[in-house]
Amino acid sequence: MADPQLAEAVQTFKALQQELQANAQTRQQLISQINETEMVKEELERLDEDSTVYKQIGPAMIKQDLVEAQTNVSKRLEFIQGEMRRVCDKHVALEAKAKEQQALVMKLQAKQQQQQGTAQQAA
Amino acid sequence: MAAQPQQEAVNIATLGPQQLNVLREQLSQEVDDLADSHATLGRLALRSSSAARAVETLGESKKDQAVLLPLTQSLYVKGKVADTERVMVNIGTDYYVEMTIEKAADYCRRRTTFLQQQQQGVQKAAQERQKALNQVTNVLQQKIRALQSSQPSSSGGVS
Repeated sequence: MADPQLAEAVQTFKALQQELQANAQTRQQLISQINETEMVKEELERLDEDSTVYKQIGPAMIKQDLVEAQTNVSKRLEFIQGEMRRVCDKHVALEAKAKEQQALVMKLQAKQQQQQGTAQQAA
Repeated sequence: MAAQPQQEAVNIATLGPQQLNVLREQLSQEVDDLADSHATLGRLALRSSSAARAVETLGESKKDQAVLLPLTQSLYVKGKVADTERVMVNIGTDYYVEMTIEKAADYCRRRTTFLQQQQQGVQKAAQERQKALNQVTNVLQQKIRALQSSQPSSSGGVS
């Protein structure tokens, strides 16, 4: 009776923990992307107007207009920062769910132990 | 810049041995990871400063000076210095900028300084984690000893 319920609750909890881990990994990747992009943005802003900027697309280096490059990098930074906010919000939501689930698991475990105790006493 | 896991201020004296052990392993992992970061940053800083020197050397050389260019780790070809004024610098995320020798050397030096600062930050964090790890380990050992001395028969009895 409590057994399949408990098993299911444990399953759900484990799934939530895996999601949390995957989310944390994504967060790490985003952090490093933000850092790199911020550095590129700063370097581009330091350049003189007549500097020559290239972007590597596959095996080719394509000349880019400085202002265009600055705009693109700024936009990319904003995009990644948006992704970061999403990931952080997801983390908060998942953590809350996981806590709830953990409480449920412990409740069911306690119930099962109680029932096993009464069953043993009756035997 | 490094991702800090959220930590609640918990008095470790109130934690049980199992929780302390979990905390201890977590801290141990963090110390290892920080040591790795520290080493990586050191390597990168070294590369940056070598790059600065290399660029300066290039700037001091003469046009058409004979050079050996590496094709592989053991294969070189003869070449001539084409340009002693401008170099192509990789500034990240697939962006390259043509810069003068001075600007390129300056970029490398700034990058070196930045990496060294990051490295110092990591070192401080690692030291703090190590201190915390030592504290947790001490408290854990105390608790284990206390448990062992108060329960000579290790079975948990129903009281």
